[in-house]
Amino acid sequence: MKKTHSKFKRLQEVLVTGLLGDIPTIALGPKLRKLIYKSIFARMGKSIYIQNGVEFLGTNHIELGNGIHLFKGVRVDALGHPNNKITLASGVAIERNVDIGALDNTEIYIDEGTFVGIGACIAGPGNIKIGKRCLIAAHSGIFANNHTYADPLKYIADQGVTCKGITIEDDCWLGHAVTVTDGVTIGKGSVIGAGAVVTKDIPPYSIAVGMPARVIKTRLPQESINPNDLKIISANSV
Amino acid sequence: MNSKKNASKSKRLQETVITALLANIPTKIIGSNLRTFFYRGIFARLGKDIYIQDSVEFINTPCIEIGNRAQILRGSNINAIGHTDNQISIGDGVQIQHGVDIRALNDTRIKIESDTFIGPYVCIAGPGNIKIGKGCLIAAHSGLFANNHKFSDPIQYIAKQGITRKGIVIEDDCWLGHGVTVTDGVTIGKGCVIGAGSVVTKDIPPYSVAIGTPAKVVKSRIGDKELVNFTESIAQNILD
Repeated sequence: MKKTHSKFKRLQEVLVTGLLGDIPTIALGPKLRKLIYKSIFARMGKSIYIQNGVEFLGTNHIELGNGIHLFKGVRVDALGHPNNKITLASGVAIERNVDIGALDNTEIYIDEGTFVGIGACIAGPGNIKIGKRCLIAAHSGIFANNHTYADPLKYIADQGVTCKGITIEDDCWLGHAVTVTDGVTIGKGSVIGAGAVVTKDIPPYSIAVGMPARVIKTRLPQESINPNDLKIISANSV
Repeated sequence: MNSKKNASKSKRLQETVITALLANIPTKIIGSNLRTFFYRGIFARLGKDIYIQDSVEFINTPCIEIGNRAQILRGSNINAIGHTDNQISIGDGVQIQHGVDIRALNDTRIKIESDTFIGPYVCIAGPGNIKIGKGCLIAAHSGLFANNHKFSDPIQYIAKQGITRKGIVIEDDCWLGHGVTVTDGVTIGKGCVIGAGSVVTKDIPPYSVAIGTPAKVVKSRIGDKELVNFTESIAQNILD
């Protein structure tokens, strides 16, 4: 019963996105999509702009807040597990060709006002949370999966992946082509230099660069580096 | 000579018409099935159970082979134009994610062996020959470029000084992390792991873990304990 229901949902999704997905702006594509996509998404807010050529898979696991912009070539894939959930909160802007994939029992949450640049890839199966007003530049990769390769006799592809999850707190700026590996938390207000590979946690308000990324500076003024002040700041920020 | 030229022209026309008509039809059931049915006539070889999503671009299809169960997702561009002996061969069970660019250029053989995964927006380009082995994992935004620009003459434009074309070999069971670059002339040995963002400019011995720009081996995947098992298994393989 449940299976036929989900099959019916999928058919509905394929039909709706297949018929409406590629209608350009001049033929009122975004307006039509805004109206009719409502029926296939878990939740869909107001004044959403979806350009033509945006691919959605598993729309009943996808929630969209108000005022979201999604541009051409974006792919949002929530298929693979009934508990998958992808949420784009209000005011999120997803640039062209961004790829967001949940994979397996995954929750991906992108919070209010965050910008994701051209061609960035965000993939599970670990949970991913990106905070408010973050700036993720083009060609960045946020992968909550690391292949395990302890056994040299077996193929790496057959040895499974880690899925610890990634958290990027509010107000972070990731430069062009930054990689974030599984299990990392990037603290509030941090700046990650272009091309950096973040493999370990970054404390709040840091500037980190390089491969692997190392903290080279803090954004906090010199006199407030006192650990007590830092506690107060992070307490206030919560 | 003229008739050969005409034949190739008519092939090209046939290819253009078929791909233009079918490339953008959506859904697996209608689009992909129509494509695999009609594409069979214009490709060098096309296996069974292939999934080609809409908006995948193929150019010079008589030089392109695709094996059984291969998957090619939206926005990929597989281009064998430039030379009649170009060859692009995609093995059985290969997964090519969206936006991947594979380009032969000039008298180039590009071979991707079975069950290899090519992540989103990976670029693979000749003109050197490129071979990727079985069961490899190439993560998003990686670039394999079998060409290095020469720049010995500071007076001439770099673009006019020509390129190298030694070729790239990635052996079986390698994992390339996000945004790895592999430059011309490199061989990456079997079972290697290359860290995200690395630039591989020299050969990497089998079962190494290499990271950095330029990539340096930091570890071997074969410890003392594994080494015993490993040599035993190799000996066993030889005996078998």
